[in-house]
Amino acid sequence: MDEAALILAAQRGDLEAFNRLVLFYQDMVYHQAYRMMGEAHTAEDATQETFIVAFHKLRSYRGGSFRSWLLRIVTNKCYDELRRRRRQPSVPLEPRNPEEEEVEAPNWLADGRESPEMAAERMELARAIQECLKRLPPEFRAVVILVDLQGMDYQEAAQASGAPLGTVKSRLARARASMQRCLQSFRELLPGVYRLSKEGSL
Amino acid sequence: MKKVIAERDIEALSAYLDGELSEAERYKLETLLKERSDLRQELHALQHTRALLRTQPRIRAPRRFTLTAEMVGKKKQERAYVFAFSALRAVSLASVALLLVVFVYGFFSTSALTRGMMSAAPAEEGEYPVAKFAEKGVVTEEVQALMVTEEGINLVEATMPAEKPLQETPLSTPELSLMQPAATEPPTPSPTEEMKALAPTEEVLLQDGEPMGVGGGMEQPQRTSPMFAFTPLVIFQVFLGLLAVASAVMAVLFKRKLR
Repeated sequence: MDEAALILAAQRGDLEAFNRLVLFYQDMVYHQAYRMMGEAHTAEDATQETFIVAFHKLRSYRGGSFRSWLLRIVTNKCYDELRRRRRQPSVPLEPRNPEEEEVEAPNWLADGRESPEMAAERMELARAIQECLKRLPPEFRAVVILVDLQGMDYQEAAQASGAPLGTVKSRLARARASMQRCLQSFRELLPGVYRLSKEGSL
Repeated sequence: MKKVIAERDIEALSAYLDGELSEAERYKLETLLKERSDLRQELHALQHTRALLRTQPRIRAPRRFTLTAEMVGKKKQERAYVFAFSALRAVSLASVALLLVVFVYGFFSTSALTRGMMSAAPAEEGEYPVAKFAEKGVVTEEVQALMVTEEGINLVEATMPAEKPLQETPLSTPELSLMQPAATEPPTPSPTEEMKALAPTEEVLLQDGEPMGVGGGMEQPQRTSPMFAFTPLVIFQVFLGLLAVASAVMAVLFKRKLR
């Protein structure tokens, strides 16, 4: 994929070219939104809105990392939504199973090659991590997602979060320390492999 | 008693794991790690948390998030562009058509005037002395051309009454200079350089040997319009031409946006 050519064409209003970029980056954007919001449907809304905003703002894109630019838009969308929720608290819209229990791990996370026990363990871990992320302040959450879940370096994370490099560094350290403490409280829920082999660490 | 680890140390440990410390910072931290077991323990805990987060699979998008023209309001914009393009094209074509009509009208009206002049009133020597001026080199070809137009005829006619008294009662130069203010009433603008060249002094003589007076025929043309008069018809033609070009250019720009 010639990203630069596609961006240039999209800047001229070529929707087809922009949609090729969407298909390339939609997993990354959705992943960020899901980790920030913790809900599938809200993450979908944020992702869709991100691409609409990106298309309209594409003329203002002046080079640099397109990935960081997109992640900045989705992160800001999530901040807006979280702020809105803080102002207008509502009943959580987590999907529920027939027993009225929350289903946080969507079925598309399932891997058909693993055993049911492994899948259950992995889901427990994913749930614990998501819960701990949820407890972090949004600015800290965004940085730890960008660096540890999206695999960005500090410079890219600074661009994507719109924060200075030093701020990213300190937020990340504090977020990791908080995650570490939070995961310790979930130790009994974590898969055996994490409880036994990482004793003393978690 | 467990020692509390400072936030800046945690920050340094976190950056150390990511390889984001400078050489000096890294050396300093490694020295500290050798000395302090609590820091080593914290480093391992952070390392494990980091690894745990990094092993998490990327969540895949549950559907395609591609955009449609309706989503981005592109259809509406396209319709506006199509309308603008059609309107501008129509304006351009109409301007060109009107311009052609005006040209044809102007051509035929000029031809009719020329034919009328040629047939109706063959100029008498004393009445329209352009040919005489031309022979003397006083009148250029442009002036001659002007004389056959309506403005030219008016111009020559305007000169005639002033010429008559001079021919009937020739005045000496001092008398002329005394009469000058009365003859030039209302005051006329100073002659242009071109007209000066055409009528240099009173030394220029007509064919019959009579000198041209100061208040005579050569003074009057200075009050007339320049050679290429901007008549309303010409201004309208220029306006139509500019309108046609401008609307055509804008139509092309909109067409390019539509692609």
